[in-house]
Amino acid sequence: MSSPASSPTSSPDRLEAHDVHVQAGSFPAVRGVSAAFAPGEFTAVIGPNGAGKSTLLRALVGLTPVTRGEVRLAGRPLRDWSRAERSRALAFLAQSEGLPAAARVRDVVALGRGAGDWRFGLLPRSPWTAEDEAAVDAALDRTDTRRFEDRRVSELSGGEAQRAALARALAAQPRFLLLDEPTNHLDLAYALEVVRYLRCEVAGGLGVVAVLHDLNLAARADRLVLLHAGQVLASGRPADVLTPAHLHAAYGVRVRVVQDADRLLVIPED
Amino acid sequence: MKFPVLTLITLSAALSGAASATSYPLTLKDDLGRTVTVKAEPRRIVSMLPSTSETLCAIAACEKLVGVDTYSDYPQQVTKLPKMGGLYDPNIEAIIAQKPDLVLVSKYGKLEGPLTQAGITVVAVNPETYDEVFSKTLTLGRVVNREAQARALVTRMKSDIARVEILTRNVVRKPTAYLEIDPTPYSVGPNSFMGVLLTKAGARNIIPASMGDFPKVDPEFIVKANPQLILGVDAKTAGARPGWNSIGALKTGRVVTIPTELNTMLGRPGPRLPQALRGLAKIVHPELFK
Amino acid sequence: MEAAASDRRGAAGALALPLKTAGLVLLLLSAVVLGTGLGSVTVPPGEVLGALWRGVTGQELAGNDVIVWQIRLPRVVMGVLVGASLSVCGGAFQGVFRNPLADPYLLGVASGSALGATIAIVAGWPRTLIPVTALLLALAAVTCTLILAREGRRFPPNRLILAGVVVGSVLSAATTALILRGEDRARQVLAYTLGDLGFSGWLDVLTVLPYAALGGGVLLLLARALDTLQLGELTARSLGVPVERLRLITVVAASVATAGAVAYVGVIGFVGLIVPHVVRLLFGPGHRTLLPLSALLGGALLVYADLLARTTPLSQVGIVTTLLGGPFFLWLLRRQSSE
Repeated sequence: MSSPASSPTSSPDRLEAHDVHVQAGSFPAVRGVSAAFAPGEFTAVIGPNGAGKSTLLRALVGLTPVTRGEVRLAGRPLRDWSRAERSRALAFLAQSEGLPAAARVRDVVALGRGAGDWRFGLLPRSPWTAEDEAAVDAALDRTDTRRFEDRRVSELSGGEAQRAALARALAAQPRFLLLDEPTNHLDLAYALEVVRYLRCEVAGGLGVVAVLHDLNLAARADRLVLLHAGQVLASGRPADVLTPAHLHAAYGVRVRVVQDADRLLVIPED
Repeated sequence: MKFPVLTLITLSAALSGAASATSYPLTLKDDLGRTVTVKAEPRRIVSMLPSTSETLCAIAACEKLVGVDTYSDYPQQVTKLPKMGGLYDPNIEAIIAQKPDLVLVSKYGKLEGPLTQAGITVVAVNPETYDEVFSKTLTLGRVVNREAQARALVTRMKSDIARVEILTRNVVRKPTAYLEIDPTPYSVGPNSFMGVLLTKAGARNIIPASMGDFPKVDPEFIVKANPQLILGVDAKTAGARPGWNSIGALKTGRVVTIPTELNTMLGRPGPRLPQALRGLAKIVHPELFK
Repeated sequence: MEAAASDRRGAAGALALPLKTAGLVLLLLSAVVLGTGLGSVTVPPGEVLGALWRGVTGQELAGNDVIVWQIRLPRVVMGVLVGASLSVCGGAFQGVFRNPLADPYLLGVASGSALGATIAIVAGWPRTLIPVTALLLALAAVTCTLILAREGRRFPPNRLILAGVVVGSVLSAATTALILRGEDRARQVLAYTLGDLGFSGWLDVLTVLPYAALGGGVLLLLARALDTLQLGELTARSLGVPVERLRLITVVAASVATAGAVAYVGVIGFVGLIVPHVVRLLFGPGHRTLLPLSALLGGALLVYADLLARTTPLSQVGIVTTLLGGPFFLWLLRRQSSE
């Protein structure tokens, strides 16, 4: 609650939540969350089921209306951004929405170039340019998916498909990438792989905000935001957030947190 | 009450020269292929087919009717009888409530099951071809103990038909004709009931027997056949159909809708067959009936 | 390695698509040629060409000319128009609902137009009114579905599908009730619900054309947005596609085109369901190829089906499409699941 990131000052390039409330029907899913996310930083949003993680993420991308407070991008309220600007700046990787099975990988990635500048959001304005092509190539290269760009999505393994989805999100060359449980349903090896690719992008200046379930995976992030019942319980460096006290308060489970080499390990105690 | 009826039967039997009271129980094969036994002379009959209602009334069995289907509208007497529903929506309860001892049904309905179960004698009679009009009339006569009257009716019908045929058979110029029974379009083959009447009325049907009795016709076939007479379509509709303005009948204005009453008779293989034929012949050859 | 893969893609992509497209174009052309050349009346090819020439140049038509120019050719063109409309709309519906079982009749167009036609038929109104009432009730049915499915400003797909089923059932029941009341016209109603190109003339073609062009044109323009939607609703929205707007426009455009087609020729089944599947199998799921190529294949198939209908005892084009389309669709499903 008291960490510096929870009382952000408006600053260029940052994605900020200012006292954000989101109402999901009659249920207050997010209740006054303030947080800031910087480019070149990997933030993991953690918390138990129903804590409001996915809702917060959607509010940050502008997919869910904020009932009180506001989201700002680069100091400007998100609602003032045009659809075009917003869809270019913020890329979103949804949790359960798979890729169309029969489509070719490259075609899927190309869709990531987005519809922001389309007329009415429906009619592509400009023809496909060399710049678009280059962005798609780059996204494929950076996720090592170019090798199978001609394969159909249905022919990919789970890890390959998730990398293709990542490439799709990167094709827009966004400033921020927001991912809702990107490692869900993935084997440990693939999950680590996804985090590794994300790390690379972060090193290149991308701001990454990921909802993660696995605390040990989340421990690899630069910063953590721990949500509980729609509010921020703690945020800051992993070592400051992943404490037995915080985790017991959030999950109701007693844990041991041990330092192993340069990583934290969260071990539940039965 | 019974006495005059019996007298009438005796009288007509004497006239037709045959003592022909039906002896019951009568066993016959009906149009559903079932073997049915009529135990005694039916006195309370429900007719579920308009042609059957007409025939019964034409053979002096009208007073036996206690109910008819919705579409029975001839002769006048049957219109006053309780209505028992139509082919697809018969009112079975109403039928049973009339306590009939015989129900005459169409073979296309589904009445025989429930009614038989209810202990009611059911006979399916469907005259469909020209010849069947006569044979089924005789069958009905036998079933309701009006055999002599049925025979007399058939004789009368045949002589009425002959009177029309004498006029039409030797006409020199018989027009080619297309008779539309349904704008989808369907027509009639020469062996169908209406087809036979069309030919007897002195027209040359453009539909060959090989196309069947009620063929769906390809419009281009009709244009190619170029009939001199078109029946069953109004001139405006015919003119609006693509390519039809090139047909002879449209050029000479011989596109004729069939009057409702005649149309009913044409679709009802029953005792008014000679009238139907005469009506049709008047349309095909108006010059013969001046 | 990567360059090789890219080359292979380039070669396959550059060759396969135009080749298969050319195949479809040929199929459509052959359908038009055979559909115009063959029929229940035999017209020698020379005469067919002569008739076409005289028709195009506006000369006096006589004999077989009338059959070729005023009956067969408009019938063929109508087949192309209707087949193309239904197929494009089917493809768009499958895309916008992300449901492979969607067809153009999903939201009640078919039952609406059937009821409209039945009212006109049973009431004994002039034949020329049938398409008018059919069109009006088809559009009314879709409007009803939209109103029932509306949730604030949103039209959730599941509610749309459900509302479509309900509207369809209610209207079908009304149609059946009317048919039973007007028994002697049951065959006409049946014929309409099976679909028939029988009396399609140039005037009908010209009347259907705007619906097909407008609806189909809008859908073709939406192809890329529909592609994006295949990533999922949230993702599409995050990419800047106004999904609700896309859904509404797609549904309205497809319904208008379908209603226009169906009003004039009756409810032809299966074309709108199957054709997009075949095209997807051949060319992949991208709507920029799927929609125009579905138009080509759908147009060709319907003309062939109509040719079968008028030269065999199958008698109505809708019977042919359903009779042949049904088993073919099953085969397709089995093939896909075994892969």
